[in-house]
Amino acid sequence: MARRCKRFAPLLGLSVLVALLAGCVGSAVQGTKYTAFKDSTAVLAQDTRTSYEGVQSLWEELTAQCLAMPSSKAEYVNVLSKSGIPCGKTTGGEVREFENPQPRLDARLQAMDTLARYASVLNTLATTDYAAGVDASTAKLTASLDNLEAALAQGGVPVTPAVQGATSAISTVVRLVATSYVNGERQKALHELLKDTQQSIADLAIYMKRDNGEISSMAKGYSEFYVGRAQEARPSDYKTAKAYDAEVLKVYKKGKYLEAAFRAQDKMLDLLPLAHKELLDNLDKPKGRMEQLEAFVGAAEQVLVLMQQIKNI
Amino acid sequence: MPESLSKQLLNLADVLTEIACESTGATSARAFDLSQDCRYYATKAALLALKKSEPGYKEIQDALNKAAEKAEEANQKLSDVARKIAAVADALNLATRLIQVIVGVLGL
Repeated sequence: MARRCKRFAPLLGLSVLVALLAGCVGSAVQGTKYTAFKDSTAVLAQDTRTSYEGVQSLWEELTAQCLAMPSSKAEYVNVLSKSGIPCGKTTGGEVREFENPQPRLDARLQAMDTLARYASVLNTLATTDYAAGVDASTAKLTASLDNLEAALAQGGVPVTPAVQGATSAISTVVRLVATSYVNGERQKALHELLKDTQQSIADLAIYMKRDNGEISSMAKGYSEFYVGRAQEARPSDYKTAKAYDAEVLKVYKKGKYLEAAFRAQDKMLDLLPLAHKELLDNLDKPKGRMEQLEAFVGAAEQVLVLMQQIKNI
Repeated sequence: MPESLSKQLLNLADVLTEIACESTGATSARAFDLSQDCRYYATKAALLALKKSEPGYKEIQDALNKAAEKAEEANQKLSDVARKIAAVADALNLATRLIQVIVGVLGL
């Protein structure tokens, strides 16, 4: 027992989160408000996927360890029909069975993917240059009107300033009508969408944050259970044991990084409804700085760094 | 907000691990086994809580999907309007060029 605890102890001192977050300053996400919201939401959805994959891989490592234990073989046959993998017995004599978390995680991932899709379509609506086609047509019209004026002048038809003004006004009016109509309709559509979805976004953030607590506990349970059993499952020959020790360390590190990833995700989830609400408020009352959105983008940058760290384990 | 059952079990596992590390013999082994039990039951409790909270997501997903569809419709509508206005400008352009031709033919 003492040996098992000593192997654990130096790792417990790791200050993973502080080290990771130390170098995360500056703004990586550029562009309009809606593009920043879309990009940050995509980071949140991707981070959710990465961290869930990490949890799933911890479960897989744990089940592989369990199956490798001689005591598990007989139990495996007994519970083969169930969804989980047996892993020894509890002190009460019950066969431990670790259920596959994948279906539970998938249900949440789908919701995050839908959120990312919503943010993406919202961005398209907010940033598409609808008047680009109108501009091209009115430019051609302006050129034709100028040519007509020149042809009339050449033919000796007097082109008065009033006629000149009227011809140049035609294309300007067409462009103005198009731009103001399109922008007005765009504002109306954005307002309606942002207002309608605000409550759902707020609910999603609350649900995800609450469930992240559970999923984070699950990841911690898997990794610590695995590390706790490491001594018992350690191969006897030196070479295999060395590789196994490296694997144990990897599982432990992954568990710690995932805890940090979930904390960073929680910060983004706190800011998500605030940033969304700020987009809505900004339509009614435009303001220079978007503090909540900036904070949301900043939190996304931190999450990006964590994601990279998890992938590198 | 009170801590979830899974978190409480993990906290208990940490305490039991400490006891296992600081004691010897049967006490240490017992404390360690119990800490592993706590970790196991923490994962079970977490999964159970996740199962229970799942139905709420469906409603949110439906609302967000509906919003995305509405945004796509609005996008399409605005593209159509812009295309129609551009068509008006194109028609005016054609008319202007026709007048030019007429002016040229008549030798004005």
